[in-house]
This record gives sequence, structure tokens and C-alpha cells, in this order.
Amino acid sequence: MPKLKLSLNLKPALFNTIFQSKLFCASKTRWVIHFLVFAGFTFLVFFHALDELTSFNLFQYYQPTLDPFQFLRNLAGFLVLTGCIGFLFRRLFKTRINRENKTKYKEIFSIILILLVIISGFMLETVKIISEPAFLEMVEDYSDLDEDTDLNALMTYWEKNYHVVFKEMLIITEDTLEKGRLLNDAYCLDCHSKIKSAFVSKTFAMHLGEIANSLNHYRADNWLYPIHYLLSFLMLICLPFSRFFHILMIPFASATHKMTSRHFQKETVSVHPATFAACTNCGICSEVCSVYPNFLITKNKQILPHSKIESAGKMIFSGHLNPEALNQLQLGNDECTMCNNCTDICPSGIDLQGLWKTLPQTLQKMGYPDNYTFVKDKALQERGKKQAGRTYELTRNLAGRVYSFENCVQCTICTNVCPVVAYAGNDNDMTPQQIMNLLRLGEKQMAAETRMVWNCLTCYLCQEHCPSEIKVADIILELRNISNQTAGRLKIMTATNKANKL
Amino acid sequence: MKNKKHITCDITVIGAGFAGMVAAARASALGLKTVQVGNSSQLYFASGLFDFLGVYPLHSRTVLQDPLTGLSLLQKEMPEHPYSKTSLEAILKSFDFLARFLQSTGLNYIKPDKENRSVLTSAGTFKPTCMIPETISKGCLLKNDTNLLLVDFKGLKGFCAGQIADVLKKNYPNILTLSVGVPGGNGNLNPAYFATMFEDSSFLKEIATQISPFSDKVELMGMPAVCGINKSLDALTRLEKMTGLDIFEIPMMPPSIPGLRLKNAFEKKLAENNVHFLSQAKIKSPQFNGSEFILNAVNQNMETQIKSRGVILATGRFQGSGLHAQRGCIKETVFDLPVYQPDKRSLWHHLDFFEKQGHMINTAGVETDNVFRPVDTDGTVVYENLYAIGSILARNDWIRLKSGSGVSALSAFTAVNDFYKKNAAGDIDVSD
Repeated sequence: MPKLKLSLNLKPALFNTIFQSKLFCASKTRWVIHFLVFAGFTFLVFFHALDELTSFNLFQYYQPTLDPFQFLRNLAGFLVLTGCIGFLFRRLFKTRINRENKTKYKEIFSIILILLVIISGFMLETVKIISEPAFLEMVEDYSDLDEDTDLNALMTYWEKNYHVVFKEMLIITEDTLEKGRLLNDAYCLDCHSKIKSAFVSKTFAMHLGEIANSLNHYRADNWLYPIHYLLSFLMLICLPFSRFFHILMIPFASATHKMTSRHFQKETVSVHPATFAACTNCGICSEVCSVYPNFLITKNKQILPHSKIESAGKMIFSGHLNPEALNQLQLGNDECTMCNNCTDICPSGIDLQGLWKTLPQTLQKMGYPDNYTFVKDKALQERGKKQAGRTYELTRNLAGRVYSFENCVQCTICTNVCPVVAYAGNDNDMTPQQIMNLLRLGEKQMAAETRMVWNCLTCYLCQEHCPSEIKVADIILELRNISNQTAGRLKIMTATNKANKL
Repeated sequence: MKNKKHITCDITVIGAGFAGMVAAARASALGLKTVQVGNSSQLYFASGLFDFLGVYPLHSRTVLQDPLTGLSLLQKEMPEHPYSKTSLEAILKSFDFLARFLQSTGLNYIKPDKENRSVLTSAGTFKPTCMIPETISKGCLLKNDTNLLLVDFKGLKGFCAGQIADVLKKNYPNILTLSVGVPGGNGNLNPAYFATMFEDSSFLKEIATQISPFSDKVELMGMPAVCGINKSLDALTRLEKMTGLDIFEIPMMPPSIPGLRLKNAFEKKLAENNVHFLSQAKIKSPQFNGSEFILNAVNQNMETQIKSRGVILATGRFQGSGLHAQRGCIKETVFDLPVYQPDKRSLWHHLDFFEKQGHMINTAGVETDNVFRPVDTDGTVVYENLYAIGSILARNDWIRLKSGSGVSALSAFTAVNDFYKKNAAGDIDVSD
């Protein structure tokens, strides 16, 4: 497991946390949607949910029903609502780069939870607005109205201006309204701003119609409270186990090391495992991945950063990956060119490239070294001998077809022009012409196990110079693929054997 | 995905072996818009020596000292041979043109002499040839009593000084041998890469210090032909200065460095002369529309349509895939021209491998008129502007007669001149 190293880098962390600067760079649409939810929800958490701690202490005259708080609460809720609908729309109708349904549903669950919290909040406010019992309780508590006519006047005023729904029909006259206004000024105005500032709830309240009376009858305002609270607590419980965790982890990931050339020279990069949780699996990294074309050809999902980090997280935390998946992960990570595109764009500020750099070491410890090392260790050759008699299912292309190499006259021109052969410093074993000879001898498997097929730069000099026009480089590349498959198979076999013994 | 390109030109040379290169050189020198299609790597097999006529008659089995007497005899006895179609003058002119062309690229050749030159080979034998690179020329100074030093390099395969000395010791008793260790070599040297090291003066110095102790004991030194690629003469001269010896190169087995020098020289100069070279392309389904050839040159990732007034076919024999030996007969691969060949497959080879007259299959090829235009079985020209040159020509056992370069150069030179005369020049004399 990568070792923990904390060295905080606060400026990008703050910037990326508060303004989501990296997401802004990556995609403007996504930023707008995400920021609506982020800004709205942050406001609601701090000034509404935690108002006992914050608002009441910060503002002397704070009341939830006073402006600007009432208006801002509605606005924030409205923003979150819009953002969530945007989220849902994108999840349902916009096909994104190779995503698994499981992750999609995980995200939709989180979004729906937010939606439920917000909607339950609005519903609660709506039923409070229309509630006659609540009105009467308030009158009881905060006024000293004795006469029925006064109460009637206030009720008339509130029905007209605050949309409270009363069971009985009230007779509205100019006088009662004026009287109601004066009484409102005297008892209510200190705590109740005009209802139009609660623009979402008010709209709901105005359109309830007949249901309003039954809601009042069953005291919907009382039982919607626990629902709203329960949903909020459910969200809190889900925080570490769902996509919500990124809220806490992104500041952390953004604050840890960024790989710059300066860092690169000084120390090796390390990744804190917690950064895995910062990943929202948004897939933006895969959209800019330089080896995305490789994925199109090999169909190995583990080439794509967003799949790789998911698998790597699983591997490190729960060890749930089977040998096949680990092998795929190793193969996929092998394709990475370390172009840094994914790290550059990652909206969560994760040092992805640092992870790709440490991943091979972790994989090697688990018995999945890169295939070159594997072949170099001769392990392949030895195992190849052990399971002699097994026929490898080899593709029937160049290296399997006699006519593609039978014209070789062993003139050694390919060897002569080969830069790998010319370089004396490496540990090359066979030359291209010797590989062609191995093929002519029917030793295709042995040819695939030579280091030459791995050392080959695919510069195609051999192929361009071959007087017999043999596709030397193509054949070598094909042998490398065969070797790659064999190495993967053997690694899986070894791992399975080991597991069986245990 | 294949992108199709279109080119229009005066003349297309199909083949990039020796004959094709000479033809492209001549055509571009005459100012014809030339396209060349083929694989120049066959030149790696060229020894770099230009033979004229080394053996005649075939069954004599002796080296011909004077090629001219041999030629006049050949022209009398073999009227179908390519040499019999032209005069001695034309042959000499083609060699002359070739020497001038190569000189302009910095590759110096010693012009033809009245007598054949004997060049020492890496097998310890002597090969009769006509025109040789300057780096090899001092080998001709070798006399029976010369104090000769033969040098080989540790790790360079296919060349052993001791073996050559052993073969030569009966007639040349004063031969010393030396195996030079190569600084930085890992025990296995490949000639093409090794040759580039000779262009580095510090490397030359290290080699020279190992040779210098012999400077007083011998007057001539022979070494494998690996002394530099693009500046071979320069490298050799520097080595001579450092060691104080006269040095000559000895041609080796393929891949031959003199052949590589030839390839580089041709490729460089032809590119300068604006010859459009379609490397490794093959001609598919050629057509003739009455005035022009329409050729599709196809390689791995590109298809080029060439419209050309004339075509020079220099695709070689079996190795160059100009001819294809099928079960029942031999076919010409590009235009499916009639091929002169033995009647039956059983006649292709003689039962005796060392038969004096050679094997019938080596005389197979395309028959032409006097300006090397392929002809039908009844002797009519197949296409007005289609020429066949080089080893594809019939009745031409060039390996045994040691006349490969001569036939190639002559046929290339004659064919291009003829095309130029008929299509571009009018009455201008182009024989020079």
C-alpha cells in the first residue's frame, strides 16, 4: 500500500474546494450544475440545518421566517433542485465514456437522496404555511388576543397575505383587513416577513386547493418534520459509504502532492489511499486519456483511468479482484504513457499519475509483474517447458503462416539495420533474422519467448530493408502480442494455484 | 486505409535493383520525369564490383583475361544474348555513364581497363571483374612476392584472415595475418553498423595502433570491406595515413557494404534528380490505354496511380520476383509477358549440379528486340514503349558468365536512350 505522506498544499485545495476550479476548466456545463448543488447545499447546511449554532449566534434577530433568510433558504433549495435535475438528466440521457451501470445507479441513489431532502423541506414549509392549527398555536403563544373579532381580523389578514388555509369561510371586508394588518404589525411582523419571499413554498401552497384542509386536519406539519430530519440523517449516515464521501475527500486530495517537475526531481511520488474516495468516477480523465485509442482496439477497460482507479481502490481496500481482473489491470496500466493528461484535468484534484506510477510496484508484489520483467526472468521459458505438449491457441496470422516468412534467405540485413541489435548495452538475445529462422524451424513459441520481441522498437527498419519483403517488424509485434497473452495466462495460473494451495 | 494518389510521368522504372537504378539514373539525367517503384534492398546483395564478361565460353571454366575477345566470340556464337544486340561501344559508354554518375555522388570507381581485374574475395579466391570501387583497387597491386597483411576483426562473422591466407599460401607465401580486437564490441559485430564506426576518427586511431607494429614488415594490407559507408574512401585514406600502409578492401558475403554504399549513392543522387521513388510498392493490374500505361503502385498503406508513357521493367528474376516459377511454367509477374523457358519442368535443371553448360532455368526470361523491348513469340514488339532490362532478360546466364552488371548497365542505358530518342529528343544524339 502506498505510504502515507502528508504535505499540504492549501491554495489549490481551497480554490478547488470552494470554487471547483478544476471542474470549471474541465467542463463548463458540469461545473454549472455541480456548483448549483454545491452552493445551495452548503448554504442550507450552514445557515439552515445548523442554525442553532450559526445563524442564531451570528445574527441577532435571526428567525427562519424572516427575510432575507426565508428568501435565501428558498433560493438555495431551488438551486439544489435545479442542479439535481440537471444531474439526473445527464445520468439518464447522456451516455458517457464506458461507464458501468453499477456506478450509475450508485450516483442516482445519491442524487435522489438529495432531492428527497430538499423536496421534503419544501413540503414541510408548504404545510406550515397553510396550517391552521399551527397558526392558532402561534396566536396562543405570542399574542394576547381575547376577542373573537380580533382573532377573526388576524385570520382574515393571514388568509389573504400568508396563505393560511382555514376550515371556516371568513368574511373579508376592508375593515377587518385593516384591523388584521394592525394586529399583524403588533404581534407577528417581528418574526414573519412577507410570504412572497418564500417563493417556492408559497407557489406550492397556493396550488394545494382542496387537499390543504385534509393536510391541516391530519397535522401534516407535525409528521413532515421527522421525515425531513430522518432523510437528512440518512444522508449523513451515507456520507462515508457513497459518492457523498468525495465532498470530504476532494479538499484532501487537492491538498496532497501534485506532481510537478520540481517534485519529480526531489522525491518519489506517493499517493494516499484516501484519495481513492475523492474520485467521483466522472470519467473526464478517460475522455482526455492519450491511450483511449488502445482501449478501442483491445477493449480492456482497465486502460481507462476512471476504471483503473476504481479497480485499484477495490484491490487495495478489499482485495476483491480476481486474478483475471488483476491481470487486466496490469495490462491496462502498462499501456499508460504517463502523459499526465488525467492528473491535469481531474476535477477532484487526485494525483492520478502518481497512482499509476505506484500501481505496478503494488501489482508486482501481488505476483503481477509487467510482462517484460516476467519474460526476462525466464520464468516463462521454464513454465513453457513444463507444460510442453500444450498447444497454444495461436492466431492464424503472419507468424502462423508459412508464406509470410518462407522467403527469408537469412541474409542478415534486418539484423544489420536493427538499432536494438546495434546497441551493445542491452541484453538482447536473438536478432530479427534469427527469429525468422526460429519460425522457419517451427519454433513459434520459442520465438515469442525471446527478449528481442520485447526489445523491438517497432522502427520498421528491418521491414523496410528486407530484400525478400518479409514483414519482419509486423511479425515481431505479433509475437510480442502472443507472448503477452501467454504471460498473462501464466500469471493467472500461478495466482490461482497459490490460492488453491492456501 | 488506403489513400489514392495520382502521378503522371514520362517513364516508370519498375524495380530498384542495379538495373533499375541505372535506368532511373539515366532517365533522370536526360531530364525525363521519372517514377521508380521497388525495393532497393536487393542492392545489399551486390558485391559492388561491376563485371563485364568474366568467363567465356561457358564450358572453358577459365577466367577470361581479355573480355573483348570473349565478347566478339560471344556475339558470333550467341546472337540472342543481350550483348549481341548492341556494340562494344555502347557497352563501354554505359559503364562510362555509370562511373560518372557515381563519381558525382562521391563514390569513386576505377574505369574499365582492357583486361579484366582480379579481385581477392573473402573466400581467398580471385574474381574477374571490370570496374571496381577505389577502395578495393589497391588489391590489384598484389603480386606473388608481396608482403601482405590480412586483417580481420574479432566478432565480425564471415571473414577470417587466416582462412584466406591458408588458401593463398601456395602462390603467395609472404602473408601475415592479424585479428584486431574491436573496442566496445560485444563479441558479435554486424557489418552495416560496424562500418559506420570507421567514420569516427578516434575509432580509426585505436584500430591503427593495433596495426601499426606491422607497418615495417609489410607493404600492403587487406581488410574486409567495412571501412565506412558514406565516406569510405576518406576513411580508408585516413587509416592508410595512420598506419603508413597501402590498404585495400576485400568484398564480403551479404550484406555487402560496397553494395550498401551503392544503394545509398543511388538513392541520394536519384532523390536529388527528383526521381519519385515509391519504396516497396508493387505494381497491380497494369493497363495500357493506347498511349499511356496506367499502373497502380500499391504498398502497405498507400495506393498510387501512375500514368506513364514508358515503362522500364527491371524486376529481376526469381529472387527479385520478376519471374515466378509455377508448377508447370514460368510466368512474368507484372505484364504477364511471354517468357522464354525450357519446354518442360524436368528440363529446368540438369541432373548434374556442376554441369559445364549450366542449368536451363538460368537462361529463362523475357526475349526482346535490339533496344530491349519485349517481343512476342512471333517476334513482334508487345508495347511500343515497354522495355525489359537487367537479369530478367532471356538467354543470359549472367552468374556463370560473370556479366551481370554489364548486361544490366547496357540494357538500362540502351533502353532509356531509345525511349528518349523516340519520345522526347527528336533528332538529338543521346548516345553519350
